[in-house]
Amino acid sequence: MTERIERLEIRAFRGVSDALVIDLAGGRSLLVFGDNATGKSTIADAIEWFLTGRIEYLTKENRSSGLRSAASDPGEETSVMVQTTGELGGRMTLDAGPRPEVADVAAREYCLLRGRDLTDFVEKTKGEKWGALARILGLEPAEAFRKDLYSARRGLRGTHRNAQEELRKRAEAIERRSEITNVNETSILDAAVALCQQAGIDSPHSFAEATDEAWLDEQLAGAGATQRHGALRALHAEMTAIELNRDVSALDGWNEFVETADVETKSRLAMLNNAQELVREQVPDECPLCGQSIDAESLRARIERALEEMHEAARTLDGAVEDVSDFLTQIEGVINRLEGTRARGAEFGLCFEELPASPLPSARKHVDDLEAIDPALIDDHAQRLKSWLEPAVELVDQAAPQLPEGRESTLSNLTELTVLARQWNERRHEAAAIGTAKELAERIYHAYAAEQEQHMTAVLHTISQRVADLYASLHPGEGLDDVSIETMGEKGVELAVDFYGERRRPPQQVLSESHMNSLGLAVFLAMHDTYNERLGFLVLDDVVNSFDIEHRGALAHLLATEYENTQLIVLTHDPQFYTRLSRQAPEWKREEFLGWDYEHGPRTRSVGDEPLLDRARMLLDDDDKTGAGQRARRALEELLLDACECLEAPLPFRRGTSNDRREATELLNGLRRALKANANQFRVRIEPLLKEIEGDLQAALNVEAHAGSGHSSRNEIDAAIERIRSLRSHWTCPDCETAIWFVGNPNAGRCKCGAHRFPPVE
Amino acid sequence: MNSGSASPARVDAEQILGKALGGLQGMPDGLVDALLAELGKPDTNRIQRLEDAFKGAADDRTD
Repeated sequence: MTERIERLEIRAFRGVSDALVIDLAGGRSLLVFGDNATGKSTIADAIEWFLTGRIEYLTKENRSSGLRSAASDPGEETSVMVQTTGELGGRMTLDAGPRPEVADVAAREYCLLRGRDLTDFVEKTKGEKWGALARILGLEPAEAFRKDLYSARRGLRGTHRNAQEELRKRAEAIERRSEITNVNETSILDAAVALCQQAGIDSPHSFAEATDEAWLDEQLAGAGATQRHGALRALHAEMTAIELNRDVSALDGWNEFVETADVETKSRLAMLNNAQELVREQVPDECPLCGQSIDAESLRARIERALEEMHEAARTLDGAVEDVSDFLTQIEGVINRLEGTRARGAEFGLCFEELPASPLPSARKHVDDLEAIDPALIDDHAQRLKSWLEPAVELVDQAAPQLPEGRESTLSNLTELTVLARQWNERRHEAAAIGTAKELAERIYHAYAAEQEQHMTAVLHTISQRVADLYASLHPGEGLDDVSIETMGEKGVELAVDFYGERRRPPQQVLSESHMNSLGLAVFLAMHDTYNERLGFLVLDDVVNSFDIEHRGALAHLLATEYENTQLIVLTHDPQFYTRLSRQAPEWKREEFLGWDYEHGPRTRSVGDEPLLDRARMLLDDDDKTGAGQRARRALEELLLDACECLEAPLPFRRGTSNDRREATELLNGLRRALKANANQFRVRIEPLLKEIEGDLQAALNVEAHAGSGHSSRNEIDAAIERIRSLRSHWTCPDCETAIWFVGNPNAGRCKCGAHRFPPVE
Repeated sequence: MNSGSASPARVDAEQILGKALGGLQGMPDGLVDALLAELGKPDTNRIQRLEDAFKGAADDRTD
């Protein structure tokens, strides 16, 4: 059984210094309006914290300590009390985590969507979108583990490359110091045997013996020599084999990529602009998005071109990061080798200078931040390493100079060969072990990613139909079919849509930002609809930011009509969406967040069925006649816009001006025409009222003209407010409080409960 | 509106990793245990610990 929230008590939490109580008896839905920074998101924060013990965006921004209101009385405990229609409710405080049952449900089900997550989802490229979708779908911990596996695998690949490079260098050092041309166990053993014979000592019987330090010690002691000279010559050979590469051209690709990241953003914008221009200006055919005339082929070609560039940039991101990381790992390998030689020198009492400070931490941070790396940073460091290495090599050479031909030099050469061979053998085993580690990491990463993709695909398959239905509800009659989300590769996900009968991925190719946002919203709603079994409420926190007015209306209608069995808690700072949803769902509780201050937290008020008119009345009570007139005029405009839209009122064509900017008088005339066509008797009945309101628009509600002297009187504005209320009551069902054309079409409609019809019976 | 689907959409990393490891032959037991144990730990420095786990398993295998 699903549970709804019946009461919410927030104390000394986030922006609430004292207490905020929201009573939702019976699990009533809630619509909250408030400008930004009035504290309305505290409601979403409180619910999230109660369910999960954390607020995700605060955790991400490292602001988890911001849970308690700084302005609260020290005696007031921070707490969130949630009372539900079932057993999930309770009280949460700072020193107690969520109950395991609650946390378990919250981890599996879907109840909170924030506008920022939606924006994230839409703006990402397909690789990044995987992560953003994982966040919406609640798969973030699993995705975080995949990313860490990926990074570990990448790290091991770099280490493996370095180990192989080390091995090659050791082999080269052996080749330089002996006659060996192909370094392997046999050739090393043969060379050691030849040197032993030349020095007149026992030869090793195996490669293992030749590289055994104890065997060498024994042989040298018998011949009256020590390992020191040969070991130092080996160190000398190793140091002279170190290549300090000052070629920083590998950074060019990275820096170029980072610079063009701006170009990518620009091309994205250019693409949208181009598409918009084409939609506006081109001729034949018809755009399925907006119905305007365009040259479809040109549109398609131009959008494709722009998107190809965008995609190419997205695809190269992973490659560019990998390339530059490899380059930095190579430098790291060289530094490690130099550190090694410094340590071995110290074993022989040789004191080398400290190595210069490494630029790698800074360079790696630039990679993480997608910033250019100054080649001089790397080049200067290479120069400093060179300045360090030369005197160090000289010091070793002085400590163990090349000996003249003879038995002593042969013994030194034997030592040098066996020391180098031992190092080569160690590196060989190291490279083999790292190779095995890398292979294990590769196999596990691919298996994990494949399993994750399979799971994601199954989920997406399950919700796809619901996503498509929801999307179609938000965009009725726009000719876009079969919307779905598909996985691409092992860590990519993309949305797809049928456009002109062709499958298009990503839909940014053909969809606007508003369409993309509604697609993200549809995904979330579908997840909730499909999988929620306990949580019967949904919190939507500022999710309509990029929706245009028509689609805000469509979303309001969708929420009001299709989610009657779910408790919705909708927070918005958008007055149009608020007004639309208020009208569509008059039975919801409404709260307005009027403002916030440090000491008292948010100031709220419950709002009636006409929020703007209620606000106008409140302002009038405070003697703010101008404010009251402005609010009342806006209330009238919203009321008329709503009626004109529902009745498809014929309005004069206005180039470049959207319908929601129309003057109230224009809307009044449109309403008259619509009513004349379908409900003329009704029009005749309300015509006197319309005329009076027309008069109000010229006088009491003409706030601009009355801004100076000669203000309208309080009574005039009061009367105008009442007339607007009266106009609305003419087409509002007193039982369900919805318009009499809530369901149906301009010719025949009815209110939500069906008690009143349009045209009304006169 | 809820379908009442029995299969939850959200799975945790442990389920995914468990299935992934189950499908692989010849994974060292120590590595499997180390990876699964990782999921119960905070993710700070996890990449390094994962690398170490792979190296440890490789060393064991090489030995």
